[in-house]
Amino acid sequence: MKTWLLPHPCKIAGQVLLFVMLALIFSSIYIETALFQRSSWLMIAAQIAIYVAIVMMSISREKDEDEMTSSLRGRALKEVGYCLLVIYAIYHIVEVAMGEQPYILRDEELITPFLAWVAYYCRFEGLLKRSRKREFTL
Amino acid sequence: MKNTIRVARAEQRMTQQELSDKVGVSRQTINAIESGKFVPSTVLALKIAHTFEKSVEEIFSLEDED
Repeated sequence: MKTWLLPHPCKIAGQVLLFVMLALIFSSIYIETALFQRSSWLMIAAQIAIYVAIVMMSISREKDEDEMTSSLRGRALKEVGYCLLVIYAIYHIVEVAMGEQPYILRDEELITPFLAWVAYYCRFEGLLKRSRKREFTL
Repeated sequence: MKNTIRVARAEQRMTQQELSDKVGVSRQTINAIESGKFVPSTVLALKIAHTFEKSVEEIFSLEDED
């Protein structure tokens, strides 16, 4: 997982970017100009920048990236991912129950929670099989 | 799981930073292991034991609830 992370300075850059963009959006509440209107290019750019900042902060290395930070990172991913998948599954089931078309039948949905569940299940079963296979290796 | 890393460090007059440099982790990780907040991997546990020239069982032991 270490190889997939951005360098640590990217985390600092993300934090600075986030702070600046939040300050900008906060100040737009109190300053009445066309530039600070919700649909203005500046506000749209600020929201995109906040997304970018959070992603940068999330996928950047810590100053001392070692076994513990990798373990904590994996645990956080696992817990959040699992919770989100469960929430999406419940949401999807409720949606379908209320008449919406199921995700698996929608042409425009390439990456859906259903596919995420399938990918997770396949990955987990694959890892299990591989671990059991090694037990019988001489 | 409990451990005697702090005692072993004191015996050899080693700081957390020195131990962390020898086993290749951060000082925070050593601190977390000593205070029981983090369970090291087998490799890391072996490295720590090797640094103190002791067996893993002398450094790490299971608690009753483990």
